[in-house]
Amino acid sequence: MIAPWEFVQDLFNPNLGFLLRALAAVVISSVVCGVVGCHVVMRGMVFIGDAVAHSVFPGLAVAFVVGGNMMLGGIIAGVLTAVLVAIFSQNRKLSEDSVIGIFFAGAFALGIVIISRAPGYSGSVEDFLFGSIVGVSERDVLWGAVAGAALIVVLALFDKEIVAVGVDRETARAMGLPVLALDILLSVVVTVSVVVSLQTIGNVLVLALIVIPAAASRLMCTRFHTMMVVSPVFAAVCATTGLYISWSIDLPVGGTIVLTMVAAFLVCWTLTALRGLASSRAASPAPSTLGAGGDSHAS
Amino acid sequence: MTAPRLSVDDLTVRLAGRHIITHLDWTVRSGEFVALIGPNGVGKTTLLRSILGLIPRAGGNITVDGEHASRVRGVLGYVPQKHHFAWDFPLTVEDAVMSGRTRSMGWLRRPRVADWRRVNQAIERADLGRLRRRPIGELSGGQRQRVLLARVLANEPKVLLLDEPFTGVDVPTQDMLVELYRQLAADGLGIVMSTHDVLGALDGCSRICGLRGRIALDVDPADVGPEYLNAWLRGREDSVPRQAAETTKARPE
Repeated sequence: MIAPWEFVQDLFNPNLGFLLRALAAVVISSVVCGVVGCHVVMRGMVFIGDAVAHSVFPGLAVAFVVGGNMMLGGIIAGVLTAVLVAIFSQNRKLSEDSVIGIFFAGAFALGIVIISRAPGYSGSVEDFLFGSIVGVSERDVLWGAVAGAALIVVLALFDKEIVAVGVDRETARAMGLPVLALDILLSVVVTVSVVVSLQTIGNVLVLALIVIPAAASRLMCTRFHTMMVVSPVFAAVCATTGLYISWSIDLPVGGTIVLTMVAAFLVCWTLTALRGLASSRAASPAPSTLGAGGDSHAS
Repeated sequence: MTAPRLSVDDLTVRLAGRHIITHLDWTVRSGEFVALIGPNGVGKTTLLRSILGLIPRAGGNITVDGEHASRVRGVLGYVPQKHHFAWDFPLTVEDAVMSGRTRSMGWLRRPRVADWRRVNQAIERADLGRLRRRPIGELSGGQRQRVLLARVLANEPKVLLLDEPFTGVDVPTQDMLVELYRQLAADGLGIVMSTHDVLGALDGCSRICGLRGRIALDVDPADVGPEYLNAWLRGREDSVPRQAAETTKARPE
């Protein structure tokens, strides 16, 4: 295992230029997914995040076969699936997760069939599924940064509307907010963040970037906007640590980053559980800390 | 008599091909606190949601102060059942109340002084001043109900539609909420509350309406007793006298 300062030296070694690009790519995708993930986790739409992550695959496959822009192909396929899920979910006889299950498996299957028709596909499939950090070009980093910044701007602009729908759809509708359009907007945002992260972490593990930092920050924060700052910081720190571990003991980058995040999540969980225990001890002998101070003033 | 705040004219609602509401006419006046009762599944929530335009109407008109409700949406304040709200969302009480102003603030706008002023007034009105910075996940059932109310009041509505506001609320809190609704009605709001609680409706409301496809019962609480209303809910009102005996009418203090 190399020491952290040796890792820093390697980062700036001109012969290892790909390493700095890799670091930029993982930090960009983890920051973007960290922010987007807050909405995904608080809305309980982790499954749709997973579905969108998988449904970009046929778009990548088509782009690969025809030699087009993979990012664009992925975004089109992901958005199409998200819109289909949103429309089919309007039917009350089917729950949304059934519809998601159908379209996400269907999209992934379509991707497999399409890519099987392309010559020399097997290596590329592996890159889609697990990411290929070594192959990140300067152009990829630049595109990732631009797309990521655009996403964060969009989320900031529509923040209060997206939160209002997430908190209470019924009232949001009664207020006259375009709930379906805002749902689709959020799905598009999730799709783009997935596509931005594909090269770094791959299709299978990208969900971890979306869910883990947001879930960990939910444990630590009581306000949504704080959570949206803590989550990307958590994600960036874990991603950098993961890349360092993966580089120093030669482990797959995507897997190592995700395992680092899981470990950090477990630490957060334990710390918050201990803190909860300590504060409930301090509050005893009151039987309950919740509501105890609550209604008393009202009566 | 004051002019009606809320007018429902000839409302018909069909859900999945079934007529839930047929040719319903109804008015609610300023200052009234109306209990909407009806057996389970009769469509109390459907009526409230169709008034709000959340369910397409097969026919009919909704007006508030003479204007079409679809054009003046903010004036209809809706308090949904508590479980519709994501209480695990990391928001403080004041964040949650401000989220009620999302539409009135307009797209791409942050809360301004006027928005905060309305939010502060609503928080005070719902007696949430001391809890304003508390995370909503830590609130009790009655406090949550008050947050939902403050959230609606922040838009300064003219009519309040409350869907089962007393579900999961204990008796002292319910009394406190009823008092608050009565004060709001006295300030000029028209309030409709769907409820299962016949005694609570008799005790707190100024008018009781019963839904059976249309408004089939419309009485002053002083003129009926709980036995009559319970019998009405079971469709057997003919067997029970309308006015309760004095002994059953009085509620223990």
